[in-house]
Amino acid sequence: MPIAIACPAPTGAAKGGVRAAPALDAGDTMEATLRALVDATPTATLLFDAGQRVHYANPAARVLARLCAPEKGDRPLERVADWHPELLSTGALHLCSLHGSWSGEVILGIGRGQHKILLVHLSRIGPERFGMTVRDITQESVRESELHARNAELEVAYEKLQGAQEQVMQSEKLASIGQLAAGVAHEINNPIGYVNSNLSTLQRYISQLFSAIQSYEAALAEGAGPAATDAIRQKLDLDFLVADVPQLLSESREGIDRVCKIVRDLKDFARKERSEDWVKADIHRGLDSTLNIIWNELKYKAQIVRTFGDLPPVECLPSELNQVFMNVLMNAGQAIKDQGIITVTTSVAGGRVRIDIGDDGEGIPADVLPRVFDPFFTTKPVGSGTGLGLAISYGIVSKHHGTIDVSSTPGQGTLLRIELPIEQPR
Amino acid sequence: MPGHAPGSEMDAAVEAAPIVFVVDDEEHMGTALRRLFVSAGLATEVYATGEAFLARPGLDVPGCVVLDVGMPGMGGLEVQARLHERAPDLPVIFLTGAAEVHVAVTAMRAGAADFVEKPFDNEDLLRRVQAAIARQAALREAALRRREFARRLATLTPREGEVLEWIVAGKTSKEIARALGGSHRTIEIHRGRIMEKTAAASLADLIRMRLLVGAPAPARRDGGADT
Ligand SMILES: Nc1ncnc2c1ncn2[C@@H]1O[C@H](COP(=O)(O)OP(=O)(O)OP(=O)(O)O)[C@@H](O)[C@H]1O
Ligand SMILES: [Mg+2]
Repeated sequence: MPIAIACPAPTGAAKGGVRAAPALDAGDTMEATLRALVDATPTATLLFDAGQRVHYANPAARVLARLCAPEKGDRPLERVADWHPELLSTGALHLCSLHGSWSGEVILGIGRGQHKILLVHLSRIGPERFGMTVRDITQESVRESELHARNAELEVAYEKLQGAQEQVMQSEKLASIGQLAAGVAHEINNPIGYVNSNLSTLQRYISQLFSAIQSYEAALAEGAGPAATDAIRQKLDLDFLVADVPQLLSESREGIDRVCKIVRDLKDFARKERSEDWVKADIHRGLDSTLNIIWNELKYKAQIVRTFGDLPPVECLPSELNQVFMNVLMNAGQAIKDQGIITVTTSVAGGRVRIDIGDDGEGIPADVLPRVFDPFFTTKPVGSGTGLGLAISYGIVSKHHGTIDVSSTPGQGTLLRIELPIEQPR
Repeated sequence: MPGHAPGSEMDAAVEAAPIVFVVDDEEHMGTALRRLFVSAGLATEVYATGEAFLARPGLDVPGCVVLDVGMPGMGGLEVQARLHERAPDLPVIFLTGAAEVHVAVTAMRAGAADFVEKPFDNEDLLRRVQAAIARQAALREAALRRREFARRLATLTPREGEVLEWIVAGKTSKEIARALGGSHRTIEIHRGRIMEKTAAASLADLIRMRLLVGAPAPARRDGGADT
């Protein structure tokens, strides 16, 4: 069926586009309808023959033509090459004749260093006759490349954030260590205090003993009897010294042992781990050393009830887990206003290790409960809580493919449940 | 008055020997402190809790408390407050494991004699304890003397009391006689009685005694008849 070859004026086409849609039953009305449809479509659409003579171009096509060749003004564009010499390559046309269709992106220089990016689709419609649709995707390409750039920026930002998060975690750890320092200092200063005092006393004892020896020697030289040595004994209070020196020494040794233990626990606790330091560790050891470290914060308020089950070694980053235990235990201690009990219970449940840390403190109101894991959420007075304790703990537990959950009854207490897989998924 | 000890100062009651009370929850710390104070010749009592210490009968004695700040149960600051109600002049020296500024400030405001950090130096702590004991002894003595003087001044009749006020104001018997009405001789007799009743060694001693007691001696309405 021959198709009108005249290019309708854009205004006419526009009119055609808004004409009321005729009924579809009659053949000529069908043609008119299709014509109206193609006229109205925003995709540039044209028909041409093997000699590249344009037989039809819809209004969108002519708008595009002017964009491609602005200097040509309103002059008729009879051949496709008149639109733009590079719009239709012979190669594309050849491929289309061969395969029935061709599509690709065509980049057209349109002067003044500007480009248009077009998505061109060719189809063979009949012998010697071709249809072509052209969509201007310059904007989209720009947007797409912007998107690529944005994406790259985001990736960089993300990496930075990850670095920053690690820093925050490390500094939070340092902050909590700083908070602990006062407590630990207290814990260390007690034994150091009496060991130090005992050493001074011992020094005096020893000079007393030396003068006793001298007195005895003098007495011996004079061939003095037992009465004289008894007098020396009494004068220098030797009986007391002989009884007290061993006691003084064993108490001092105990003090030094305690300091050593605290220092060892601290080292255990604060070891800086790289993320590849996953080891199979004893969770109970971590709980114990953490409890020892914060004992000073807790001992005046809380009784600790440990109910440790049989746990297999757990693949973990031990010092990070210690940090979780510390945050949760500190919170438990802080929730107890006067005197209370903190329970630490471990078990294996469903192939996972479960650590329950409960307190009978003030509890968490229902409206606060969903927010406790939020970073910087705190109900503590300014300066005393950063609100990072549980947020960081959540991060660490997630890294271990575990879960941390909180349940609480205001006025009765709170339970933090940590569950960890025994082995990390490969 | 050289060579003449004022009689009024010789009557102060003889005080018991001072006691160092050590209150620390850390058993070995208590022992170490006991060693230190006993070997310096000070009677020492060690308590593991503030409660046990406060349960001791008769804390209003010469001595000194060496008190740990952080203890389970009753903390050092609370022990200090409770002690203050019962024995306001028993000095308290705080021992602390970690010097916390706010605790030190609270303690000093509440009248702590001293604040010492663990680990402490034996000699230094001993010196502080001895200084606190000496300060308290001086205070107790002054308080005793003041009470004794007040007791003596309370034996004066209202008339004698009046005459005493004039004497303290530096008036002569003649001036007093003129002011109060009465003969010079009568005032002289009052004077003699006042010196006798107060056991003052001299006029200066009498005035010092009167000033130490403070507010005017309460007039004795039921006192002896005035001449
Ligand atoms: N055991 C608990 N009992 C009662 N409230 C709790 C308990 N644990 C956490 N919370 C609540 O959750 C909030 C957030 O806890 P989180 O540990 O994250 O921060 P924080 O303790 O306030 O500050 P930080 O741990 O940084 O010192 C707390 O302020 C508190 O209101
Ligand atoms: Mg916390």
